[in-house]
Amino acid sequence: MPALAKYMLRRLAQLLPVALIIVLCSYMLLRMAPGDMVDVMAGESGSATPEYMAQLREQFDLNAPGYVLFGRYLNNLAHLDLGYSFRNNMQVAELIAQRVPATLTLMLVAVVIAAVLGISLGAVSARYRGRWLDEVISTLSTIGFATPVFWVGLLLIVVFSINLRWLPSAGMQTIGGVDGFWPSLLDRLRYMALPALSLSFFYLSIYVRMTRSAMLEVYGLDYVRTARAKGISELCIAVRHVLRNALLPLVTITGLQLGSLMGGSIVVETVFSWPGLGRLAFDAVFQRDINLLLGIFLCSSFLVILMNLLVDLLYAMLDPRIEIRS
Amino acid sequence: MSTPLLDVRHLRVEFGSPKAPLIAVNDLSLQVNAGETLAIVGESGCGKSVTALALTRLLHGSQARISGSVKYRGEEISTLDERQMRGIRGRHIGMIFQDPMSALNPVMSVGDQLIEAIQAHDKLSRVQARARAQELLEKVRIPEPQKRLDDYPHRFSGGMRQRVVIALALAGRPSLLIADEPTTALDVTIQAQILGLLATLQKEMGMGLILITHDLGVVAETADRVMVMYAGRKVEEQPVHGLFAAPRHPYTQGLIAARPALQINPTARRVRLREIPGMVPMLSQLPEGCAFAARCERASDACHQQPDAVRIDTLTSVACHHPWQAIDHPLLQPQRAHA
Repeated sequence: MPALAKYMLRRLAQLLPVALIIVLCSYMLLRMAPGDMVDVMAGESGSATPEYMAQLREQFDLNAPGYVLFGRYLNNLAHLDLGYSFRNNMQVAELIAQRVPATLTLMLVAVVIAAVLGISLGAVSARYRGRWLDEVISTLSTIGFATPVFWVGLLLIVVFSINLRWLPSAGMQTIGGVDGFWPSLLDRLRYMALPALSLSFFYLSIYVRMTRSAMLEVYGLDYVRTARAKGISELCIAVRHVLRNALLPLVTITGLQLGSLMGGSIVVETVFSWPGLGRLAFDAVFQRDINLLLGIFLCSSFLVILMNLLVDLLYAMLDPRIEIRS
Repeated sequence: MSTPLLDVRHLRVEFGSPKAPLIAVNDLSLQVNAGETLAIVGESGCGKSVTALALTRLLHGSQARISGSVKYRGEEISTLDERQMRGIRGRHIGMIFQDPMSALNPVMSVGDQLIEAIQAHDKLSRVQARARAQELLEKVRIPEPQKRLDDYPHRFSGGMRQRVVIALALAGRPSLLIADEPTTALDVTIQAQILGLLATLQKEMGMGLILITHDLGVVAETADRVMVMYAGRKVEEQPVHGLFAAPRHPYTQGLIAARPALQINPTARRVRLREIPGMVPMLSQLPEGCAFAARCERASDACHQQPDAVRIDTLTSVACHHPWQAIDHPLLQPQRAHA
């Protein structure tokens, strides 16, 4: 078997224990939270009697001790069944499958915006170190670094949706949809703009700062002097020699940040009513929909682990010194 | 006399604030002719490397202030702008650096780095440039050059990497090569190979070579003329045979005396290595006058004033108030007809 396939297989096998630990921890945390699904439903109806609540608990099979329920859940998992969300009256797997594309698109667009803008600004900043342009970029990135995501989102809504009325503030597309491929794509992009921007803001700042410091470090290295001694242009030096080497730590950071990006998307999806996994999780917490929440945790941790695997492969592609061995 | 290949006059390099500058190179003049090897010798921190970098203005980002005149083939290059200077680097003056382990970009294949250097100065297609890159690797005696083109630097040993660095420096077919301690990071057998290679290439291409080193053995083997630097200044300049036979400056004397001698008879009493007492003064605390005076056994009151370089003959000069005369040199009989 080629080394790459072997390596992937081994990495994927590591998923299992990780998934088990994640499920166990989140299950215990959720059980420790006060109230269950029935409490929430009773509160919402406003007129539930204790008898009715007991009957509901019986119906949803919530009376068994925790370890029995957990064992049952694991058994279902082993049969690739994520369980049923009584609140949404749907299979958890189906619910998640509906929401995953929205979240993935949002995350992907945010990462691309953050990486492209962040790396370019960071490179410019490093190139003009100490001049006014560097000062402006560095100051802005510090502000971006220190600003909470939800606040950026609210601010964008106030400016671009309410005051300027340029962009919609909630949802994923015009209700009912738009005819034609290009108009519909444009429509989606318009809805995507504000959430993606606010989600990318924080990461953009990280990229700017990381790129700047990594490039400055590389600028001081011997091979940059060698490149200069060849008589090639500063732009070639910056792009081919400095940036390419500075990208390596950035790829690592991207991998590490993917988990937190998932968390950030929950906030953004809530602010912008984006119908993604994050919103679903947010609602599930308030509805004490344990099955759904566990399913989401599992799914998102799988996503993060898979993306980390991708990042590692990318790393091996970028740096010839790293070879994949199984 | 014809115009020298490189003619440097009163080169001065300062770092730090203009009010309290650190003068790394002071009033340095040197000439190199085509096909000639000039060795610049001195302890670490004496300004050798700074001189090398200052000539092609590669002291990037350190905010060094460089003054003086640098003439290449009679044309002033110290006043060129950055873009014009790029046309000089690599094409006319090639550079080889000390540490081959860090002098190559780790994420670019050796071939790509060579092609980049070739295309910087010659309008060649990629295929043509690749063919030239292969020739260059052949020229620096790398076995199986065609296969090695696509390898990354980490697959080369130190000596092989230095060969690649030399190939890079030759890519623009320069007429002057500046080698800044090209063998310091290599082990001794490889050192000899690399020096031999440099000498062969120099002869083949008729290049001028400035060889910066602190290794007097290297100097004796390869140089035509030697310039000794101390604390940023030239203290002595001589043809190589004269320097070893009759060093004029007390510092040069000390350097030569401090070389370990090979002891043939292992049972003989070990001879203690001669050393120069004291330390090189820090740039921020240079004394008035001769910087070597504090370590010099011949120092007198006169040494509180900077000695001028005195020409002894066309090729020899020394900056000392009390230079050794050939006649009072302990190793020499009174003035032989020719050394």
